[in-house]
Amino acid sequence: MKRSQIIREQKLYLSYLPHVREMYGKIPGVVLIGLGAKEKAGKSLNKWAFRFYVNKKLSLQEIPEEQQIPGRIFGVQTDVVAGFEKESLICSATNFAVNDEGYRDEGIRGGVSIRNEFFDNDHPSGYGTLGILGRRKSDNALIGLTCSHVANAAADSVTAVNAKIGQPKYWISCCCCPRGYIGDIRKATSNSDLDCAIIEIHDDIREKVTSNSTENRIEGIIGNIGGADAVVCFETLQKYGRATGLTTGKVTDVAFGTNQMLIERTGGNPGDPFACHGDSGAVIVNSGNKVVGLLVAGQRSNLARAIVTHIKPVMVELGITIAGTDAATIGDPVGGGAIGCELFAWPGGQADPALNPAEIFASTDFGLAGSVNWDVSGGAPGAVIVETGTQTANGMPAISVRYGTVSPSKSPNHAVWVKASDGTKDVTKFRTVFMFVGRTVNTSSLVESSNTKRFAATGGTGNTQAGVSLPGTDGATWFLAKAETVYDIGPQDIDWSGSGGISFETGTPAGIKGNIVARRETRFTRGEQQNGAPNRTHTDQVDWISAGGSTDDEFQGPDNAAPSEIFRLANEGFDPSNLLQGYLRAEFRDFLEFHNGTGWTRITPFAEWFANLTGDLSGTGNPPPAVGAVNNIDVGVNAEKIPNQSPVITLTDFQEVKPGENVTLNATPTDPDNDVLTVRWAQTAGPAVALSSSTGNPVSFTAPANDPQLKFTATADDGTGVLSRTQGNHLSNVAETIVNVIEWLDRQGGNTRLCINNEELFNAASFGIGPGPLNWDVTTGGTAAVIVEADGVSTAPSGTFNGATTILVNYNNVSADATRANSVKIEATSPGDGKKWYKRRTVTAIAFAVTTASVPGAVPSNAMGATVWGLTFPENVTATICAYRNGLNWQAALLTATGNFSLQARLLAGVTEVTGPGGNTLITNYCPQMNNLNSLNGPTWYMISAVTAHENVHATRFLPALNDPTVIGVLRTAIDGLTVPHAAGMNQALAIAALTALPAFAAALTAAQANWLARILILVAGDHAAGGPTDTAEHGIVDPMVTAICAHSRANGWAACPPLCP
Amino acid sequence: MGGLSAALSINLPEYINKHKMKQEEYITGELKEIDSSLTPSRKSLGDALAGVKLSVKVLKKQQPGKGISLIVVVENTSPKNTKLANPMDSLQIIILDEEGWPLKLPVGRPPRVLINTKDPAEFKRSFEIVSIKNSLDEPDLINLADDEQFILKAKTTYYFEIRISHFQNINKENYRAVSRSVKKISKGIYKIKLTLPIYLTDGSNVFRMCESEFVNIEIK
Repeated sequence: MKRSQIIREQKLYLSYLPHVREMYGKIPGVVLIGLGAKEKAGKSLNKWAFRFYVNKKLSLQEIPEEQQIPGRIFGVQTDVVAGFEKESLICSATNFAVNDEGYRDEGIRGGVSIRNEFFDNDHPSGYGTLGILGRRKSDNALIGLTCSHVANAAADSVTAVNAKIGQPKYWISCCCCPRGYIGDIRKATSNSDLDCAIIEIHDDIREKVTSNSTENRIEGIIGNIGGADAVVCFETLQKYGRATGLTTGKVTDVAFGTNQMLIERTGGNPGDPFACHGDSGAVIVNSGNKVVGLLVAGQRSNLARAIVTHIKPVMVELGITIAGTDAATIGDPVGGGAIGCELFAWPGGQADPALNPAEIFASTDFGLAGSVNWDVSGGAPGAVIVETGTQTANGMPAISVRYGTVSPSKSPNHAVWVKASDGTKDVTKFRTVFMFVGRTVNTSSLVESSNTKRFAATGGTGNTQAGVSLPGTDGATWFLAKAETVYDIGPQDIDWSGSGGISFETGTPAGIKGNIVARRETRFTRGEQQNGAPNRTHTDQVDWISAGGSTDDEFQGPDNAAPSEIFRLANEGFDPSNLLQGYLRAEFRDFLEFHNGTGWTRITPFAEWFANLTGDLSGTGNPPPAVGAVNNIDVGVNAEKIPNQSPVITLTDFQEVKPGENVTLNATPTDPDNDVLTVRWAQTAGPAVALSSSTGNPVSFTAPANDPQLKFTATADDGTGVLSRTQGNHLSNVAETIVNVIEWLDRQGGNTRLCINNEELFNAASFGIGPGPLNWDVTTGGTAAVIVEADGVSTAPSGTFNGATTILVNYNNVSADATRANSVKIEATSPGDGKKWYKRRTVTAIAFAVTTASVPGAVPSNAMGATVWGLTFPENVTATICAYRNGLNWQAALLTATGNFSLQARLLAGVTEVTGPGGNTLITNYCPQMNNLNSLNGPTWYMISAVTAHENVHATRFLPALNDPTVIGVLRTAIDGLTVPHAAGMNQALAIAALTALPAFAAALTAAQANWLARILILVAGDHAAGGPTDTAEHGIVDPMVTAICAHSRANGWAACPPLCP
Repeated sequence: MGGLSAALSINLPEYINKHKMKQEEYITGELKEIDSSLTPSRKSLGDALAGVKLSVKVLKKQQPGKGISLIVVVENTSPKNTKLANPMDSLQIIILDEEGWPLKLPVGRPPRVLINTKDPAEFKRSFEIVSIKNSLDEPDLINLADDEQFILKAKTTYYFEIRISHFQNINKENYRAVSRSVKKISKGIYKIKLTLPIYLTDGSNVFRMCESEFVNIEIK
């Protein structure tokens, strides 16, 4: 093995050593763990091994499994070394001395004999070796290096100073003169790690050393010492001591204790010592003539093995330099001295980086100071420096490292190397990245042999399955939900033995860096319906409730059955007494937290599980399930939440309303669970209307104008949205209802003479089902109508017409009543897509009678004879008509009939109008005037108004005569029977023109005139009777005049005019 | 109410025979009460006229150049005499030409009941009463033609022979016009319809409105 390889591996394995010691150092019987050569058959091999020093070797059968030392640790072999006992190598009486010469005059040097002042001259013991001369750094004083137990041999304290040291011994001559004196002890250290001292060399001696150039010499070793250095395992060394002189050996343990190494003699005869009593204090020199150690002890049973303190800590402790070498220049490792145990594993590897806590490293953690360079690229991949996102970073006093990849094993080769370097010194720490993976134990898991892992109806105190006590007395029936989460750790070869490793806290977490605690958060949904209760009640715990630290019961560390698992339990239940139905959903999420030195941080995903339990108990009369029986409860991570049945909602499919009508939407929601339901409404089509409320039942709105079709949906929600086992089944079906806002107006009609009826134009645009021609049907309502015109062209009256943009509808039938069912339905269908729309009309009977009038002013056809005062004569009858289609013809209908008559009135020739008093009534004529007036026939005096009154009597007969059925009835029959054939382009106006141009129309009017006259003759027959209507009318005029004349005559004293004015 | 056919079966053949008329040359028709269903009140009031039956008899082929002749038959089937207004005063004759256009008779004097005079009214009809005869075979009663009242003797039928020789000379399409100009009736086919109101003159307001169907005649 090359020296360079040995050096690299020595550094690596020395870095493992503290952790090996932490993990295995407490095994009973293990005294010490070192790093060095593997021994086989008593021989040291050049193979690495962690060396376990025990007092006595035992067979494996004698050692408990957890105390057995594995064959390899971190991939390094182990070796058990038994019976090792240290022995200080101060010279004893039985020891020999190879060199006890004095060198004071020729310059003292390393390797020579020394002894302090506490021994008599001839005493055989107390000798040791002066290892080498050096310089005290504080004052550059020349010092001699040896062991404290040599310098202070037989002293009260091995750390005492100022005792005198002599070479080859200090003794007092007979003249009480000190002999052999070379200097005084100035510092002595003696503890479990160090055994060293320096002797300040007296000036006289120093001069000799200087003059003889022996400061860097060791007796017996060729050449000057070139300095000091760190030892390399398996290296061949040499030493020169008082007792055994020059011997060679090999480093078999570079970390024997804290600052020691173990050297085993090479060369010579078997059993020859490497050192013996009197050699203590000698220094060990490597092949480069550099001092690597200070010989302090040997193995009592085998002096071929020597214990040597690494030179660096000696020099540091004593503050010296050797051959110009300062301790600070000596690299590590120097001897495997522990620098304090630290966690060698750290969580990581989770897919979610947030679950991989960052580990903070400071340069001081590496024995460095200030800003250093960092490298986490060594070893296993996946480590990232958080601050930079890279694997290397320079000039930072501290970094945070997050480990992204779990280590496949705990092998150092699978560890992440975190290296800090200050330019002169590299320090590396190693991290095995571990990760927990949780899994919920379901019913099939047998974590506990006594636990079926099922929900079970369990009874009273008999239930101890979960290790928890249940409320209720023995025999009470409760339901218990129970499940565990087991965490598997990776890498699986992490050891859990008490010798070290990861520490899991149970109970109250201590909050120490590296602790792991399991936690559980819970939330429950409980639903119960008691017998007689109308509804199910929910208890919905929305938020997770954090549990405290896991308890001992809940959190169990791994055991032999499951060395890499931890688990915990939980339970929840409810009392089904008087329960009609009930359910319980317990949701749990388990996770682990890791203490990163500052606080707890979660390092696992939530292991979620839940438990559902349904009960259908006293309501059905079924007894609860027996203890331990499998009931209708399921457990798992994929099942639904609570048992729930969807509500059902129904709506009237369709309703028709009028514009402006208050419309009520009323749903019928039901729920098999008797849950309280909320009905939600939404408008899905048509112009937006303002619902009275978007929720509730019923709701209403005001129907808009313009005949839209509105669609609404209603959904019932039983309120179990987040609770329902079946996602979404808290909602009912979506029911739809259509509201057609339909124009519905009143019209008049019902006359068989269609042109009498109301007619109405409809066009496609007003139906909103598409432009262009539509197919029309006015027969689908309870009352039919007829289409009489399409796109402005007259049609034979028909109930349907296809392909018209506009139609003219004639309401020829009367609705039986004002109900929708008996309305006329004007329905249009888009021929393209079949869409339909319609309007409604209620038709009431149109009030129709031929309008008649008797109108004076006609030109007289008869001249009055010479003796005729007046003549009133029906001259003619005129009429207006309308026309309507009747099959292929246009048919007339009489609308108005007017009797036009002439009225003539006059005073006959020779007759003077009486104008009365103040007029032409005089004393000379007043009496004739009165008599003429009273006689109604002149012959001299009369009044034209009386004649007119006479004629008006006749005129009053004319209208009744016209209205007589013998007149108007006959006329109407005649007119209404007129027809003309329809011709292309003919409309009603043209039809009327054609009809009134018919000879028959003229004949009808002529006949009407004749009939009118005939009827008049009958009515006026009695007018002229004496004292009859015409006389009365005339008297009505003339009598007041007679009275006035009489009064006037009397007033004026005129003579009487009997009998009118006696 | 009897019908014309009944009257004819009793009296008309006798008249025709007496006047050497060939029965098959005549068209006969009853003057029926106009739409009696519309004037039910008249039935109760019409006892006095219940026995009066009216009909018309028209030669199918009129004598050329003599206008249109027709006979109005008034039969009193009652065992009592009946006094009524002169039927000829109220007779209305409607004549249509071949095309159906109405033809106006010449302007005459209006019916006397419409004339306001204290003197005997001048009375000039639009048609000529040629003769008035009865079934009693009394001498011609033409002298009664202008009487204001006419007495129908019991169980007697009266024949009023009428001749229409002129029409007003107006354009037929201008049928509403009145013209004193007349023209002779020309050859052709015509339709004649009579409307005859009869009523009592006792002030009882008992009347009947009767009319015939149109009768086609031909003037060659």
